[in-house]
Amino acid sequence: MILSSITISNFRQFFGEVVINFSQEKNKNVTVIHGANGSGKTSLLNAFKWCFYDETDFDTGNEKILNEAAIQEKSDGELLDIKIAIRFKHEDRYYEAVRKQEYQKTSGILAKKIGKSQFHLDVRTVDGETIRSKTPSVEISNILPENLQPYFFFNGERIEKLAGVKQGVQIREAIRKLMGLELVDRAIVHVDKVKTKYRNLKKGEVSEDHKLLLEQIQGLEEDKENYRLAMDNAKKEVESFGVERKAAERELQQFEKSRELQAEREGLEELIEERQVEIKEAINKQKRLIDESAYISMSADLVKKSKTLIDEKRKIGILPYGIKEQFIDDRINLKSCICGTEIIEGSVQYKKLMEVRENAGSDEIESIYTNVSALLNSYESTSTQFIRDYEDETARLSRLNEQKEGYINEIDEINSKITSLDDNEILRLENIRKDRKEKEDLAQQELGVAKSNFDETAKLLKEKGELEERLGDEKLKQNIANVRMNSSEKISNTLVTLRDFLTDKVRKDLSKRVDNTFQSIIRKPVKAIIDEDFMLQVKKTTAEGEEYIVSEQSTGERQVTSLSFISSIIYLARDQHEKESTFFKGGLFPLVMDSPFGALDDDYREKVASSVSELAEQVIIFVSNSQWSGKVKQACENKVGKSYKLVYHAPQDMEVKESSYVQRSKNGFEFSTLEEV
Amino acid sequence: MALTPKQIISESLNVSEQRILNAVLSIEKRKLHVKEIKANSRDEREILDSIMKIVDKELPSDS
Repeated sequence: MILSSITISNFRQFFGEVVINFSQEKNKNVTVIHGANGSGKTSLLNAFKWCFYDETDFDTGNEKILNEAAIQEKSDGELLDIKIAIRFKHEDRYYEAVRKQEYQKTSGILAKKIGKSQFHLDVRTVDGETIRSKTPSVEISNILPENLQPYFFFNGERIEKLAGVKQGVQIREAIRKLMGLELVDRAIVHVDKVKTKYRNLKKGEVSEDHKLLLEQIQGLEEDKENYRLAMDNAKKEVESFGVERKAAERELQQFEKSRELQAEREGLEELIEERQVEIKEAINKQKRLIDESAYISMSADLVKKSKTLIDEKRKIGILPYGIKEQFIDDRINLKSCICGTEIIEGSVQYKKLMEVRENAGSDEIESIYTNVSALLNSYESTSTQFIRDYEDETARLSRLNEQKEGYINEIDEINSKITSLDDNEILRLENIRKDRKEKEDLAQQELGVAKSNFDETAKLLKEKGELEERLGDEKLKQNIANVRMNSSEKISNTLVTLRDFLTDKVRKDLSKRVDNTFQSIIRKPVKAIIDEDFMLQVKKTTAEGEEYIVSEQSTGERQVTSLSFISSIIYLARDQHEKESTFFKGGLFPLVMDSPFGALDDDYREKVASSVSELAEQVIIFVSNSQWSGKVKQACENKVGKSYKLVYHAPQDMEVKESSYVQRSKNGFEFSTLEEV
Repeated sequence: MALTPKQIISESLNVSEQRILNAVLSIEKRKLHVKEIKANSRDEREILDSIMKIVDKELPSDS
């Protein structure tokens, strides 16, 4: 997707029609829009979100998005509308997405919505034919998955939350969709169903016992499909209840009485999420320790016994014997002892030496003795280290769980405080929040149960399938339904292997890319990775070479982390798009950023500004006039293809210091206009 | 050395099965614009029929 233009009418600060054409030049791929605080930069970002997804991240949601000047201009009862049109190019097709919401003025600056917003998408193909999409929302979501929209249209002041740990599942699903891996998922489901159809065709050809087994397999396949559906439903519920909960929380932030408590609760929830990640990490480390060294610890008694046995043998001179066979042979050959005594065959000295030779140690025995002793000693130290490491992790786990419990208790207290506030609206919102949170948690549990059942059923199915294969007689092997069923099974298994392989490849590529960008900006000796659950983690290595998660990052560092993550998604999508692979779809995507330099210090600002054009194929940034100056401006100015200035027109009764960014409104209304610079 | 998707396919499947797998992916690609393919829906029936036709063609009764 490469954006051509956006036309905004009566949306937030924008009175009448405002058009922005975006730079599509390869070497000057940045469009910058700068303006004073409150002049509409965040509104521009939300104009994209509203048009494509009927969503905004304003604290008041979609309720107050109609421009007040547009209402004032109308008479009571008259109709007016918000309209946003976005033109863009995607995979050789030209699109125009238009969303419109009608209103009727009631009085003053009040207007009521007439029905729901209308959305349409016109597509012009390479042949020049224009077609109106029958499913515009679906099509937009296929071009730019809705789950990923916060990453393409993002608010720098809130960006640090994008790296939030709860996002893992959603990010993984959205990235897989963006890369086209949904295709393989669907193929697995459908080939499995085809396999069942062939199995049913085969039933008529087999013995009663075999038929029974086939019926069991069919039952398990039905169970597996039901668990898959349950997983899909649970995922959707987690997502939708989560969205509703967040909306209620946003509204609670609007009330003075509940604002502080809500902010505190949000902070505590983030801390719980962080502890949750660390708990998971500690559990994984314990599992790793058990896999690698627990067997030594389990065999500690055996090691101890072996060591005692060897020590005893050593004490009584059996192991290793001080004199070696070779030494005695050499003296016999020389016919002389080291004390000078002559050794003649058959003499008393000779017989004594031969007796000693019987018990003398060979090189081989000595070497075995040395190795076994070293091994037993190392087992002992590994076992001690394992116990120490395991106990450390147990102590860490208990500390983390304790902290988590503490945060939960604090949240419970906040919940009671909010509930006891004397405000019906707050109480209503809090009840909604509580209800959605409970439902969200329940859905999350259901998801876990469904996944575990799905995995268990898949394992059982595999076992039964192997048993069924062994039952097949020669005649049946020739049966065509059987041949087709077996081939379908092989294809399904290959698709599963491919899916796992491709998902892991995407994750690893993404992780490498995130760290590259991260390292080019961040000052500390840390690295960014995408873990196996597609969660963004920042890790540090101790002097002993052990890695641990950095959970305390400054807002600026989090912003850099999230920015690296976003950029890596966009670049990976572009790489895959250029490779024209069968499995990866990828694509070109723009990056639209509001306040990208938000919480950064001067050094980070300059570094981000100098690499901003490399973050995506097309970059659109909204910055404050104070940020669009000095080193930041210098660092990216030569990459700017289009530049606009937002001019705020202040109402008559407002005291303002006029400048090129702020003017007094000529018609008395408050609004903003755009000027190309 | 790490395997490629092509190697995974060629090492697991014979030529006919490889052709079926590629055809399945093409069928799925054509239906990717449908946001969700529900069980027993018309879209799903169409996909399953198309896959079976390919399987029957690649693995005929006299094979």
